[in-house]
Amino acid sequence: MDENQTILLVDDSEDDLSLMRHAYRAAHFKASLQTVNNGEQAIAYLSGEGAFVDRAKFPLPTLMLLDLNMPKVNGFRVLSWVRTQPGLKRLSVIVLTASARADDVKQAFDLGANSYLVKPSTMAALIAMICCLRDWLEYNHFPALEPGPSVETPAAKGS
Amino acid sequence: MEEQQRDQRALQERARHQQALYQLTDALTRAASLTEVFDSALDSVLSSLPCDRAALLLVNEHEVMQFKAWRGLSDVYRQAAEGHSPWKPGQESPRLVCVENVASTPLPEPLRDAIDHEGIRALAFLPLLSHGRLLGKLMVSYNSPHTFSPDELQLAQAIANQAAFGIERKQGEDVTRRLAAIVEYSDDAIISKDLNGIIVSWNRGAERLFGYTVQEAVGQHISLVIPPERLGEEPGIIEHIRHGELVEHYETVRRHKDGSLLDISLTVSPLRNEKGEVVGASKIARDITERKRAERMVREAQAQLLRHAANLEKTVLERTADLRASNEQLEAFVYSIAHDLRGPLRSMEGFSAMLLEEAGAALGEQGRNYANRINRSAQFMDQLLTDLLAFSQLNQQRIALAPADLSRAVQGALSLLENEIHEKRAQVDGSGPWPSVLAHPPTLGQVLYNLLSNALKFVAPGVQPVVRLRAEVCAATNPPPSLRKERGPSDPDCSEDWVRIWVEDNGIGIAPEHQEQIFRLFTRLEGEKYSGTGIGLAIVQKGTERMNGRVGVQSRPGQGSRFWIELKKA
Repeated sequence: MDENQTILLVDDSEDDLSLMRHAYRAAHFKASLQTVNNGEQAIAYLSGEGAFVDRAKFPLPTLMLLDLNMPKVNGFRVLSWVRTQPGLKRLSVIVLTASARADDVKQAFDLGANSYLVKPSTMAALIAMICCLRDWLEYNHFPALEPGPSVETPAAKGS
Repeated sequence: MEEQQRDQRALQERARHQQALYQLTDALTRAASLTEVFDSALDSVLSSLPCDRAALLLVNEHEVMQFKAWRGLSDVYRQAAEGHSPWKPGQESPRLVCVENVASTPLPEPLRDAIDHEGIRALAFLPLLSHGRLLGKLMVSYNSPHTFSPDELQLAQAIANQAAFGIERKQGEDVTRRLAAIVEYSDDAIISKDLNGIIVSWNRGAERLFGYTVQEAVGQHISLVIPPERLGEEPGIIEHIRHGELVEHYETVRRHKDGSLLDISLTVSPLRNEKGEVVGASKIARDITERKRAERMVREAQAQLLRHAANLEKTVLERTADLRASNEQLEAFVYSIAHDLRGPLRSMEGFSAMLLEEAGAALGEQGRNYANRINRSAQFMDQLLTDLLAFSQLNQQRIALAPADLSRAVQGALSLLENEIHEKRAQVDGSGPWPSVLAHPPTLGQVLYNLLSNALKFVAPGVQPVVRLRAEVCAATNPPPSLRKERGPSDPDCSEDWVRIWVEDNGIGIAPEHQEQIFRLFTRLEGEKYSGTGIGLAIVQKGTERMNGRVGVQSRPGQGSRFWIELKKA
């Protein structure tokens, strides 16, 4: 397992971020975990803009765990923006959300999600899921991302 | 001398005959009615001929000779003689018939008797002819045998001819008068006009319809009753008439004297003179204002009906859209609740778990107990939410029924409960056979899962659960006792169309008084001893109902429960 790997966790709930960090530690995940609180920050991070200019400190992630239900720029819009970016279109994106709505699942996959996970309701189940993710990451082959200039699209702007 | 005297008598006789004919002609001209015509003819015959009695008969509409006037003839004779005719019906140019001596002439028996009895000894029948058509006959009779002289017969026939002419003219006048009355009293306006459009006649119907009296109308131009904007119609109508054509049921508008407009239907036909030349037009106008009004009302009613139908359709569409929108809103609401409630629950569960893990030692036993309770409550509430969502989804979602493999549904439910079956060392028999049923597989799975889960859960402490699942095809001829109670033998539903799925357990059972309420939402009979949300059986009932089936239970406390659901056989 590549210890230089980075996972970007996007979630507007501080509680869920804390729980995830705990589960992450409990699962002995070696990849570094970066967290942002909303869709705009996720786009800024991936674009290397604003507070995230320093790629040494904020490296491009191997995998993004993306919440859907966020104020302003929600997960769907982050996802569609990602798929329009030449440098990011092959980024692995796993939706991690509280919603099990069939419509949401369908839309996420339509927009290019690589997987769709529903937040488990207990810590034990969350740890079990993160362990799975950890193992999956180890077995999975990721395409190299080709960093390039980001493309502005209307989908990523506004609320 | 004798010859001279004879000639003299003959001359006198002829003069008398001439006199009689003149008198008759004069009387006929002055006759005011048919009866007067008849009387004049009989008077003339009796005064100028040496006969004793006379009668006049006319052919009625049934071609039967009927007595119209008579002199010196008894009722008995007339009844016997009526209908008898010396000529065949329709005979061309019938000629006079003389019977000089009744006794030596062959006659039909009843007629002969009547004639004998009446004392008639000689007879003559003179046809009343009009253009060769037989109108009737003049009958003269003698009380002794009689030899008819040519002069006498000539006179008799001349009288008959005059009478026929008089009768025909009088009948013609009657017809004319009748026709005139028909025209005059007709409800329709009947008008005649010449080819210049000048009104020649104007009946009472016309007076009523147009408001002008006959004095006001006759001599005026027909444009009197035509509204100015329709004056253009008249030349067209006149043109048709000039060509001898009929204008029928021409619907137009005419003007009343008071200026109001009338909807009328016109029939105009050409009037010809005796040479057949068109000299004018007769016009029948019928007031169709009422009909037009009725037509307008029908049209308006139809239009209104259409508008109502369109409105109704629109309303239905709007309501349907509203309903759909509110359904979608409800669904969105349920999901957002689930999402919003789950977040805090995850935090409660997660942080209490973290508290126990990271600071459990520092908390002490009491503290750990509290943290555990928080954790369990959060988990229970999550289960509650999950079940509620499932129940609400059962109400919301569209359920399409199709033949479903019951054995797969049973296996699916069993595999979901594999851990529990293993932990409780339960014995579960669901080997079948399983017929196909009409169902919605995900809903069927949910129903079976909840039934099985209950069967495994509600056992007395320390008892190993024994659960049996089986299917039974309802047979009309031999229904199980439970069916017999719920449905009479005449119930058309109780046929082989139904499959009953039994889930039988060795659990704690349910008292009869509780068996109805257990399917209600949030009913928990054993809340103290058994955990549960009270939603499971509500899901079973709702899910089965959505699949057009039904549910029931047979149970006794301490003797296990036998839950069943019924679905249509596929």
